[in-house]
Amino acid sequence: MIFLALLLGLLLFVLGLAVVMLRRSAILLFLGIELMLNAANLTFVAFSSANGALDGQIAVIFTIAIASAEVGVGLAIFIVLFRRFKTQSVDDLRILRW
Amino acid sequence: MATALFFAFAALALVFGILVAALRHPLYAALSLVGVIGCLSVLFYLLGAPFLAMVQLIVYAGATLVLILFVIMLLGLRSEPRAPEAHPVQKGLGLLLCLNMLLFFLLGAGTLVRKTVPMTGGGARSGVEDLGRLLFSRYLLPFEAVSLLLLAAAVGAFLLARREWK
Amino acid sequence: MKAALLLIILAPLAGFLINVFFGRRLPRAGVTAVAVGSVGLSALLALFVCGAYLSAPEPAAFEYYTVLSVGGVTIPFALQADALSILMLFFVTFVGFWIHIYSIGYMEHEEDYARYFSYLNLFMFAMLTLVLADNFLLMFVGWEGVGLCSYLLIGFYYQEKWPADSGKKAFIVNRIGDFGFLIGIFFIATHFGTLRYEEVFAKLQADPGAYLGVAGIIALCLFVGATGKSAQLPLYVWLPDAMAGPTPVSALIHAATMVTAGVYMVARCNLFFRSSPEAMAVVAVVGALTAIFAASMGLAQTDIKKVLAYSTISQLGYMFLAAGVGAYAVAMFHVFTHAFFKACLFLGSGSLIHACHTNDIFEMGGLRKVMKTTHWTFLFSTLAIAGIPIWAGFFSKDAILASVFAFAGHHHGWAYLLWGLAVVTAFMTSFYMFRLYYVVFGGEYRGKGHPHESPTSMTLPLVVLGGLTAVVGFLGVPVVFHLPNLMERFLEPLTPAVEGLAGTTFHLSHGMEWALMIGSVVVAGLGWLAARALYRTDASWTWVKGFTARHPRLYDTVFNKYYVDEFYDRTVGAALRGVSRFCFSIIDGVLIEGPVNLSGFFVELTGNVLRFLHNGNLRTYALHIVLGVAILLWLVF
Repeated sequence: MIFLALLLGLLLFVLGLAVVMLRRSAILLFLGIELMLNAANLTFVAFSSANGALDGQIAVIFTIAIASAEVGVGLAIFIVLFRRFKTQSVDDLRILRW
Repeated sequence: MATALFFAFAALALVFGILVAALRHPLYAALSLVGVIGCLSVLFYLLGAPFLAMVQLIVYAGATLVLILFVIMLLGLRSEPRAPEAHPVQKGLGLLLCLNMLLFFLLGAGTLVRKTVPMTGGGARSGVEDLGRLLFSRYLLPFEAVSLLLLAAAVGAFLLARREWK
Repeated sequence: MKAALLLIILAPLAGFLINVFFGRRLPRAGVTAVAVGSVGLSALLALFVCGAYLSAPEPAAFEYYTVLSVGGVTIPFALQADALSILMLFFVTFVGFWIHIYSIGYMEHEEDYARYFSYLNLFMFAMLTLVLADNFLLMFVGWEGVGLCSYLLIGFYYQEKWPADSGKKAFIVNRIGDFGFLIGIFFIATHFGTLRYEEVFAKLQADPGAYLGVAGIIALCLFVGATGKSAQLPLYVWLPDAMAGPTPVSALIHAATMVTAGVYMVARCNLFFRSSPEAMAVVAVVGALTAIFAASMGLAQTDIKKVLAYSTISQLGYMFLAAGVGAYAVAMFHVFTHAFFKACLFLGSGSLIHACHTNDIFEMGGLRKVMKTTHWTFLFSTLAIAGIPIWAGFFSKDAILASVFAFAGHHHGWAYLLWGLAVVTAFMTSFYMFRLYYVVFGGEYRGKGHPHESPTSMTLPLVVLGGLTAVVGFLGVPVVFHLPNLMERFLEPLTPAVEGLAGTTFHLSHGMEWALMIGSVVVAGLGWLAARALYRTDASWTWVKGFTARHPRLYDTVFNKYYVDEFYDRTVGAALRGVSRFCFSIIDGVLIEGPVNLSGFFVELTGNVLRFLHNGNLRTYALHIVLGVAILLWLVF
């Protein structure tokens, strides 16, 4: 069961990674990041269960809190960018490029 | 029974995960992510973390994802119409790296984990009480730090998204 | 007592901090209250400390905290009250307080009122640190502090070129002297292992023979410092230009207090000087030459403040002459009386400038009738500096002449020459001071506008200081009058008699002393009469005009101060400019800039290559991160 959880974590993580690297829409990047965070959470819980120690679960609580903070600020930035550039594509955000 | 449930929900989570990666419409992708989170919540419960299962549902699915969905609907986002999602080089390299990651963990680290971690599992179920004790004793400082971080994020988000910010 | 001493120096510092940070926002009355109040507090506490010392004349030192403790040398922040410090403390705070009062009126129309007063307070802080310090390092801190304030205040009108340049000149020339002082301090630290006066002088007294050679070197190094700060040959050139500052500043810093710091320091270190007859001879000769040199330059000046500046240099020369013949108490007595009459003279000139809006004495004239208070106080202090009996300068100058004469009689025959120079200087002093007096106050008014008397805040200090010039001389009555010489007795602990060191007093017969006294009065009187004959009325100038017309070269040489500034510029200045140009073009331009530019070029090159990685695409950056992680993972496992 634990091995299965770890495998699932790995697969979900790689899926999130692919989204982050390959998608153009900023909102989809967010979803990818959330997916990776969830994968990490799953492995934490799995290891915690395997060791019989609760520290892994504490880490999950922190991850969830930090993820919500990240989403809050990230979405605020996204809204500002969307208002300004009228696009959700991160490829168009390169005005600071040399 | 538990193992069967576990298999079922793990498979479901994987399907939802693939959907997140495959769908281009933000709304659908986000809804798929909600599905992933729900499945993971069940897995958490089965792995002996009932409190986390509830937190996952209430905070992640109930607050964070709803916020993302809210923004998607507020801005009326649709899938990007332009055809090439990524530059071919970028696409190739990205997929290669993903594959690399997968292989690395399956072959390299996976065996290491299998040797060191007892895979029998099913350790003692943990109550909220034990978690709380740990959180407010050994992890008190990170806990307070995170609370500060949340405050800063709230203030920051408010400042960033103000209407005058043009 | 401990708290009082600390408060004396901290009060002006507090005033400075308040005015420098909040002065622009405070109303003028507030700035005035803070500045004058803090110095007033210092003056009151100084009176208290003086009283305490007079009732129980025991030198006391108080340690507040340790500044530095390295190896065997410990340097505390400690203040001391002995006879010399207290004498300085008294007149610095007293004169300083009255000059603060005077400044209220003088700077009335000044834009930068708060800046002026904050500098003035900072100066008081530094000067009081200098005189109250109980070790050489703390004294040096005060020494540098007064130099800084002098620079700031000379360049107070920094928008104009002359004051700004003069400030720099003063600072740089002072730095040359300070360097000598610093080297002297290093010598003391290495040879005595301590910098506290008490310990250094105790060691020197206990075994003067052991330090014979090095004491002379230390004395000469310290004297270099003194020539800078006290404007002696060859470093005197900054003082005349220091007159670019506001007049009360000239009175306080460049006449009454700061420039006497050199004399104070020499008196403080008299044991070093007394260890070496050669060092004493150097001091005496430099003093006498400076006195006559500066006095002769003062003869032809037309700027009222420059006349006074040269007379200050000349009087400082007198003080060093006295110190050089071992009469330290007499030197300090002249410092003391000089502070009063020179401050009064400068403040009087400030009042005249305030009224006539010019510095040129030939554009004044006839002011006796319109500016009565200024006239009387100016006359009093002129009498004092010329050395007319009962005024302060008579007593101190006569004491100096008598000391030199006695020193010469005591098998130092060459010193008769110095005595001769001093007597000629006394004649010149009397002459140019009365010349100034008659040109400014006699005859008819020659300038523009209608001058009027200055406000009370300016005349009150004049009256106080001018009145005192007729009084303070009696603190040092010569022995022949069979009255106690209070000053000498007060300063007695300063110069302990030590076996193997030069003595500090030489006695003259009473008849000789009378003769010298009458002689000096006659010389002063002759100077007065000569000036009266030549400058009393506008008509009597014709002879002077004819004389300068007949000898244009002589007049020009004196008027242009013997071209000393030009000489310095051609020699020292030119050499310095050459070295600087070399440093600029070769050392800086090639040796330093070359490598710097080269490294900059490489940075630019690398950046130009690497910037292609930064294509501005967020996903590429994500890819880079993952790539890095992948490499790390493969490396670790």
